[in-house]
Amino acid sequence: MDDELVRRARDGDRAAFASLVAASIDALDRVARLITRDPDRAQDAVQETLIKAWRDLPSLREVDRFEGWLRQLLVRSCMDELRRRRRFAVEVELIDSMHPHISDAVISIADRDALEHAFRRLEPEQRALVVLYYYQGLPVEEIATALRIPAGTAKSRLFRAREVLRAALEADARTVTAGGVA
Amino acid sequence: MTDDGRGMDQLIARWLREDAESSRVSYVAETLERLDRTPQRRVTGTVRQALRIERPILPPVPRAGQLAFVLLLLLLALVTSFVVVGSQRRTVPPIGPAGNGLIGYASDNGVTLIGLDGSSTTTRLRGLGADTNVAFSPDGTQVAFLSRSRDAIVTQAAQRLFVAAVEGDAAARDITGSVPVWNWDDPDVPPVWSPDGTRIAYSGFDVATSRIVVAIAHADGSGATTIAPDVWWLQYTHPQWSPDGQWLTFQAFTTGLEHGTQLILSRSDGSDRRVLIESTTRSFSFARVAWAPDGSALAFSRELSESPGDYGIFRYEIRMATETPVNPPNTRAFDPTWSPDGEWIAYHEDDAAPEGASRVVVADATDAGRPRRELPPVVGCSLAWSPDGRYLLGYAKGCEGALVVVAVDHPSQVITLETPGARGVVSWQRVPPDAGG
Repeated sequence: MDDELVRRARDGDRAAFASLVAASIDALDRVARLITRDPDRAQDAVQETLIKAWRDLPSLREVDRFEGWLRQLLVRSCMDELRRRRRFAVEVELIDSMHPHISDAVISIADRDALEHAFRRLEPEQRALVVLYYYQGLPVEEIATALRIPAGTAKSRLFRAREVLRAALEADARTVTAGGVA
Repeated sequence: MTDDGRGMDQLIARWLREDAESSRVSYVAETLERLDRTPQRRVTGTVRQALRIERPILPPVPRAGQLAFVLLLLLLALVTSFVVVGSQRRTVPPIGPAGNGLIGYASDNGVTLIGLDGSSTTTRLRGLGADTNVAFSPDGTQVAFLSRSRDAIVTQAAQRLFVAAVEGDAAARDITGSVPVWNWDDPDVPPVWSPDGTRIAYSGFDVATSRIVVAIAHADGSGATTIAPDVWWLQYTHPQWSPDGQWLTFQAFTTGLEHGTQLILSRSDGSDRRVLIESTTRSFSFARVAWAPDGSALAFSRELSESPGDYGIFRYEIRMATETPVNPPNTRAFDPTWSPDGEWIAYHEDDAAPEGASRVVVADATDAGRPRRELPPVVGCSLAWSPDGRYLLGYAKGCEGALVVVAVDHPSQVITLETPGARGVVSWQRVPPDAGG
């Protein structure tokens, strides 16, 4: 991220912030979609993130922390979005156009379905952990910072989330095997 | 399937990468438009120095001017509260078990009032197009709701507060004044009537100061006051009146880089403010607070410090400052609501396990140790007691299309009301005094 742009945006330059938005919105949206599993919620979370970032940017002391700070805001927005709406939401199944390049040779449809269903059962924080770790490739310490939890806690929760996904895949495999025998 | 741990890791990573590939952002222009309408927070000189920001962002406002403005607001709040106290009407006494009134909900057709027999009575109560979050006045004669234009972009300043008499032909009146409703962070928060029915509290956005405040509008449209935080990095939201109308609780929520969420108690004029309890994380803790009918205790959901992301319900004794968990360990719980007689607290509960079941629970709100009751799994979300305390109202499973009413003492008795398009918070009317209940 261009530190000079961040500095200018922090000083109230909207054009500079617009440039930062243009440079980051695709990546933010990807992460938000992966966590929320819903494009509309992702959009809400990203927009909320960017508006909060603009509004509170004058309080950012070190401009080189902008990217991590933005990530922190995004993860919090996604988690809030999921918590806020989970009691009112009908889970939206992903439409085919959201993963048009998938073939059985890459990941089987059954595995995809199992992962999808298991992932949706994860707590918002666990979803964020999985995405930041497996998709963004961040070290656990940075993930812990983004989630404002101790690194040890992040590690154990990531482990639990991974176990949920593994159990779902194994259960799915048993179903397929049993179906094959029958 | 995977053969080992590394294979499992690779599979998850690949699955996420493939899903992410197809993301397309089509809302850049819309986002920039929203940003254009959002002011940047002003950082005062002292704070700027503390944060080591090199130069001013906006011209400084003289400290004496700031102080004078705050004092003026406090003076206004005091004067207004004296006027209001002097004009209080007597609160309508609770009604008998037979007399529950209509249920109000909002949809694209405006506010609809529906009877338990399914009879729908009116759609004349409309705001700006997209109405939501209905709340009957304590005496059942008026209804308040929130509304924004269908075309308005959802920003912090888009939604307004409307009030209308339930009977008669008068149109709903916008009583918002200069402090529009702030519910961008949490859309399902209704306006909150004072127990005497003269004022309505809500989370507001003070355009003049760019602060999120507790706003208190007079139901007759004669003006509004605010309770604003002293520092710019706090926002006050989710007000709730005490049963005697003298006090308010509200949530103090930090913004930006700060942490923590507090539950504040203050007099209704904003004076005598104190922190009752706080959560160490930014969360929706204290966003749902219910006063016990006798004013001695609160019930709220807050994030669990030992398990961030999970919420539990607690009963908080105000005089003793003690907190008692209501839901059992290994469960998560939300949205407490106190029965009108103060004996029970109803709430939504989930098992902590990811695949765990969810239910509505009615738990003993006293120390009598009475067993809790679990209602049949017909209520999906939202929860409100009938004024006579015999029924609970909520959205049906799936949380749209229908409301369900469950008899608390006979939970097999379930009434389903078809309410297409219903959204937001629903409200149950106390039978108006002249209705002969």
